[in-house]
Amino acid sequence: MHVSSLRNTIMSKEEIIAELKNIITPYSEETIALQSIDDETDFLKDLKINSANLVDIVLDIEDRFNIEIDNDSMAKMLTVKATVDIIENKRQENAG
Amino acid sequence: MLGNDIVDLKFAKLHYNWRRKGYLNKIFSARELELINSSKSEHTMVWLLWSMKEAAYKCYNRLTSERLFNPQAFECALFSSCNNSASGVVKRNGQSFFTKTEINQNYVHTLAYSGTWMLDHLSVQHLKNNAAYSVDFTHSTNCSLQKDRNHLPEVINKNTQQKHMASISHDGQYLCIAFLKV
Repeated sequence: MHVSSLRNTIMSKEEIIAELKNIITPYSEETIALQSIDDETDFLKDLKINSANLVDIVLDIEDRFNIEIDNDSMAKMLTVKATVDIIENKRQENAG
Repeated sequence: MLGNDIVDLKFAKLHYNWRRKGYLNKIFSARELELINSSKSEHTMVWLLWSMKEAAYKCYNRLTSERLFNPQAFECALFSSCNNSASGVVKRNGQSFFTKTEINQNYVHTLAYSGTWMLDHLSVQHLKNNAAYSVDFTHSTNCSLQKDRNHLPEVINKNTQQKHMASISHDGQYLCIAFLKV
């Protein structure tokens, strides 16, 4: 499925992680860590993503999920788990 | 406390698109954006301020053990800047980190430190960014690299066994190791 934005679509946590993996992949060369991506995966330590590209990932997430990520939320976005929590919260706010 | 950060300017041009819509606003305050807009070389100013934030973050992380990704919370001010160097301060939560930056056509390299006295006691090794950098470092300094108990880098002098706080940064083809000689 390829859609420009996932606004108003109901998504499971697994679907969010799968989408997140698509977003992250161009910015990491750690193919093995990418394949086994899970809650605990750390963007910097495990995926060796450059922090200048973390900004791109945050912008890609905003575009893809049609949400706005404030600085305090962005501050926590160092792991898959923290990022999925933020995406779920922001999507809920939008739906509400 | 000590931190360093290097940006490979050519690599940055290819891999970090700061002209992307929304990019700079995620990183910089209104005052910092003003510095970028009024600069003769926006590309250099973007990476100068970025490297100041990154180097200061490494100091802050060493001090507090807190991990975060919030570049805007590290506010930069420049004391002076010219074509080949800059000095300034980065503030976070009332904490100040001083910075000194070397600028040339290839890279921007910033040292951040918590006390001005440290500047005279810092040693910087520029190496190629490759898997064998640790071996290269030992060859050129007679010191070896290891992790301290907090998993942060430290340098150990092979002759004296003295340990020194260290910071490692790499980007593109460059790798830089800074350590405090006291």
